[in-house]
Order: sequence, then C-alpha cells, then structure tokens
Amino acid sequence: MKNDTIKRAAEGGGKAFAELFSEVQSELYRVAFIYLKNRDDALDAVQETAYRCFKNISKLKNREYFRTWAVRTLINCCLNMIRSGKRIVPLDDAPVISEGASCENSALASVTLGILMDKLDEREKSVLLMKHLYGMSFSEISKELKLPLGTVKTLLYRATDRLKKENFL
Amino acid sequence: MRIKDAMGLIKVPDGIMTDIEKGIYRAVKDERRPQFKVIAAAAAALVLIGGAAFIFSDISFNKAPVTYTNDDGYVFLGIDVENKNAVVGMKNESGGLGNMTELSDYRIEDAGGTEVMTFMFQYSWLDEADGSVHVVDLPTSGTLYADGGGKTHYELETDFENIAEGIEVQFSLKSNYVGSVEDGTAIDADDGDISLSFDDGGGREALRIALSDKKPFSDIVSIRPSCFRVFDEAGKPLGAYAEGDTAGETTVDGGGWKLVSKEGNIYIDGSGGKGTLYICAFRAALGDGSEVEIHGDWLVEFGE
Repeated sequence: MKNDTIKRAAEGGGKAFAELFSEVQSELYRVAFIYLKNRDDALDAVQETAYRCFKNISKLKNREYFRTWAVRTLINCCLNMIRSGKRIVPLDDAPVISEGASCENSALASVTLGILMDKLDEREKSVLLMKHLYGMSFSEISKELKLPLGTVKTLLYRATDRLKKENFL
Repeated sequence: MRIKDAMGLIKVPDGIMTDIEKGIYRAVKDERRPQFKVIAAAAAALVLIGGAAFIFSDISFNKAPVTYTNDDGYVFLGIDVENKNAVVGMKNESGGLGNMTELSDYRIEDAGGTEVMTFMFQYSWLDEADGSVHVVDLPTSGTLYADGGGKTHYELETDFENIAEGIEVQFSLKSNYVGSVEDGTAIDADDGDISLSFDDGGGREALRIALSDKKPFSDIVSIRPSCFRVFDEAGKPLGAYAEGDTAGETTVDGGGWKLVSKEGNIYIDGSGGKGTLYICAFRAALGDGSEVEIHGDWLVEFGE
C-alpha cells in the first residue's frame, strides 16, 4: 500500500482514495459476506465503509494501518446492520465461490464458510477474524469490540474449539 | 480448509467499485452540503441572523436541548433522545459508536442506518451593553458520546475568557435540513414544511421561520416566542422576557414604535426610529398536549 496514495487520499482526493480502497475491496467484501451472508447487504456494507473511511481518513494517525482500520470499520458497519435488524438472507445456491477454484476446493470452501457463517455468532466471528486474519492482540480486540478481555479469550476459545471439531483449524 | 483460504475463494462481484464510488460520492456530497448563512432580506429592511435553528427529525426529543455552562467554563449540550425505534450513531475513527474528535461530520442515524439529521454548531452571545449579537462558529473539537441511558451528549471544551461576565451565552443547535439558504433570500421551505410569519405591525413580514414537516413538529398546533428581547436604535435593552412571560400581553415602548406581544404573536407598530427584536426560543404545542421548545437566534431589525 503506497504511503503517497494514502497521503493524497487523506488530503481529500477521491480518486486517490478509490485507488487505495480498491486494494482492499475484495477482502472487505469477503469479510462482509461472512457476516451478512448475501451479496447485496455485503455490497451495502462495503459502500458504507467507503463512506465512513473517506470521511475520516484524515484522522487516521498511522497510515500503515489503513487496511486494518478499514476492516475494523467494515466489521462495525456489519454489526450495526445486524443490530438494526436489517434483513439477513441465508446463504443460498448463488455461486459465491470463484469459478477458478477446483471442485474439491470449492466444496471444501463452501463447507468451511457455511460453518463460519452459520455456526458462529457475530461476536465469535469478530474475535476469530480479528485474531486469525488480522493478527490483532487480545487487548486490541477487547478495545475494538468493547468486551472484557476475559470474554474475548472465552469467545476465541469457543469459536476455535467449534471449528476444530469440524476439522477446519 | 483454512478459513483464510476459504474466504479467498468467495467470489467478489464485478460491480463492487460502483458501490465504493457511491460511498465516496456520498461523503463528498456531505462535505459540500450548504450551511446556513446570514440572511439579509433587504427589501423589507430586515436582517435575520443565523437562519433557522430548529431541531427536527425522526428522532423525538422528550426535552428541548439543554445548554449550560459549568463552573470550569466548559459548555455542555445535552440532548435527550428517546425513541424506541432509533439508535444514535456517531461517526468516529472506527466508524462505530463512541467518542469523536471532529464535530463537523457527525450525524444521527435511524435504525436502518439512514441519516436523519446532521448538525452543525455555532454559539452566539448577546452583548447587553450594545445589544449586538455575536455569532461564532464553534471550534472543531469536542466529544460526542452516548451515555448508554438514552442520552447523547456533546461536550465542548472552549475558551470563554474573552467573554465578559454577564454576557449571556447561547448555543444554537442547527440542522441544515431546511434547504439551501442564500444571501438575500428567504428560507426556502419545501412543500409540506410549516412556515410561520410574524408581522411587523405594518403588514410587512418581519420574520419567517420554517419547520420541517417531520416528527415531532408535524404535529404542531400552535407556536409562540417564549423568549425575546427588544433593543432600541442605540442598542439599549428595552425589555427582556423569559419563558412564560409571552403568554399574556406585553408592550414595549421604543419611543417611535411599540412592540406588542399578544397571545403568542409579536407586533411592531409605528415608524419612528429603529429597533431590534431578538428571539432566542419558541415554544410549540403539539397535538398530544405536550410542548417542545426550539432554541436558536433570530434577530430582526425593524424601522425606517
């Protein structure tokens, strides 16, 4: 991620921001999909994240953390959408797996994602993703999710245990 | 399969960039949203300062905004928000609820995440020595937070050392919902909004305000100024009324003119000399019997 692009985006450059955001767009969409379970809501969450990030990027103190910051913003958007009772459509038969994947990988990914989306609650998903995907510390997760440290550890243990039982960790 | 690998196989729709651009466009549009300006209605020789300063949205306020200053010189603005169907969302670095350091870009969302209200803040103070009203943009530092008990607070640290003792400090909570207001034009109220006119006594419109047709103000059955002050041509205060005083009939003699407050309306009669009417609050009665108070700054200069 180019520091110069971040700088230009922070100065209000919409084009620079779009360029910057395009580098994380796929990742954001995928995380949103895990929470919201359907394409339209996931796209809404990405749009809201772009809106929030663009408005606040000048406040981002450490530019090297743009990616993590964007993901944290996205997760908050998703949680807000879920809390506000926005319609959540369960995973259907739509082709959510990239066509390039092999049949075996495609099947495995579907099962893994199904477990991740349907067997874990929002808090478990958040802790799991923040820890395993973004390498955040327990205290960072605790602060981010406004949960006691002990609760974060318990949630991670519970989520990990559940996935281990399904042989996915 | 590892979670990371499985997630990497989720197909990303082609049109995602369009959504991102929409988000950026919304943010840019927010930045360019018109702010209230001083309105000069030259033809009627009237000046309205501050524009409309109303609070209206889908969020109902069970109390009028409360403003007060504590002993340390900190100004607090508390808004009681009580709505079963709404949540209050504040923009901050993480995009969620919590503190924020810029007041210029916060908003209140309804339960569906739709923006229902955007605020900007100014404070003004009335210099009783010369009757002038000073309007100053607030510094862009402060904290907005929800206390978890249904209240949202805006907390501003500011310097009041340059304001002499005894000067009244008023906060204006301003929404830019009414629409674009340009110099030399009256408030452009949309269809469905409520417009209120105040006659200067000679058939001229002295003051016009518009309220959005939104709850809780869609149900207004009557409205009256609940706090106003009058000054003569030299800026000398001639009368100051607190809440409740305007319910009856009051006359302020300005020499060449008279101001009469009667049954909630204000009339100015006579053509000799000039004067200034400063209204700091209106009280509106709602259909359900409750009342809300609308705080702001309305300044009308009258006379030849």
